[in-house]
Amino acid sequence: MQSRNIALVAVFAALTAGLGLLPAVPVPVVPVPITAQSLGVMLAGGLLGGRLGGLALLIFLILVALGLPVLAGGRGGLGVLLGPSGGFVLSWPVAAYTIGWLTRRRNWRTSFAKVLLSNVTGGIGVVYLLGIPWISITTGLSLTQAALGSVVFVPGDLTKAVLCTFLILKIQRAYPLDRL
Amino acid sequence: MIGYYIPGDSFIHRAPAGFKLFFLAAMGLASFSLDIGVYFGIFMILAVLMCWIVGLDWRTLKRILKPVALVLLAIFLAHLFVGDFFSAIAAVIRILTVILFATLVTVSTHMDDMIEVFKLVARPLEPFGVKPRKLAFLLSLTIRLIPAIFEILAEVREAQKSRGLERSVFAVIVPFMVRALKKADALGDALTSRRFEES
Repeated sequence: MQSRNIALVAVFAALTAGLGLLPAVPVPVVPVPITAQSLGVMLAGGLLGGRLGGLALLIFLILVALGLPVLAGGRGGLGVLLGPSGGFVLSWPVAAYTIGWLTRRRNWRTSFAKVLLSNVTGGIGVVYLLGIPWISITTGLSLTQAALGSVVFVPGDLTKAVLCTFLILKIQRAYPLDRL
Repeated sequence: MIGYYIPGDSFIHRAPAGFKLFFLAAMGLASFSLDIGVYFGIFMILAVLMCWIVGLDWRTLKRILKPVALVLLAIFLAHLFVGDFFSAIAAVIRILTVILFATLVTVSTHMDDMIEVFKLVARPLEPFGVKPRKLAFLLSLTIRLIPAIFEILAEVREAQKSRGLERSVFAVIVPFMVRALKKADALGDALTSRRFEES
């Protein structure tokens, strides 16, 4: 792999870890807090593309598994991954890959609506698709119950997707990452 | 060093990292197939005992378990709502046991040993172009970069504060990201000049 790509992957993995230090907002009843960390997922996918963005989040995931307290609220370790909210964290590399893959299709990345659609598909669709069954497996709740419980997060996640779309477009204009 | 590692010399510390991770994986799988909480009650007592052997004091354990407590309470209530009291207790014990064992592994294994295990795990991927040594390098590089990223964020915040813009999301995040990307480019050049790609 090119050394520039290695550096980009490391920087975005570290960046996602850094976003985790912003405080998490716990929501009553549902066992998963709202965090700024999913911004890292959308930024990595949108700016680096599928392959590198997915790899950056995979590296981040390994750091969590290694026990570094890099998840929102200073959490970390295998316990979190095996717990009820672990599925959401585990879905992030796939989500970043999906966002990157979508935005790289037919120059989608210059259009607000298309970047937003990518962020919603990957950052919300993929994350919930993997996270909700994981809640169900770990807690023994039914899929419907787990899904109903997760609905609380949709408004927050939509806000994050819109914010990230603005950010991705602005950053791309300020510092174009060509040759990726 | 950031992390939860507690130095020590118990038999749990000395056990190979690979073995501990394998044990944990087996434990996690068993917790899904065994529905009987009683068995896990025994495992949980074992886990608490091992926490004591490893030298995990109550304060550290509380710090680790505090974020989980709310989750466990929610699961308990949800199970109570759909099932009976016994199944709710069993669910909580099951999850708590896995979390305790995972904490044990995290607390008793040094980061370097963990990275060694990942190198080993990555070895079957070598035919697909994954180089375990480079993966390990990427991991240490990322750990090293986390404080550097904070430094950049602090600098940008300060600069925007002098302009009265520290509360604007865009005025902080956009220059911060640009500087992070520049940092990555400089890092890439440094790696290239040291012939990283050919190593």
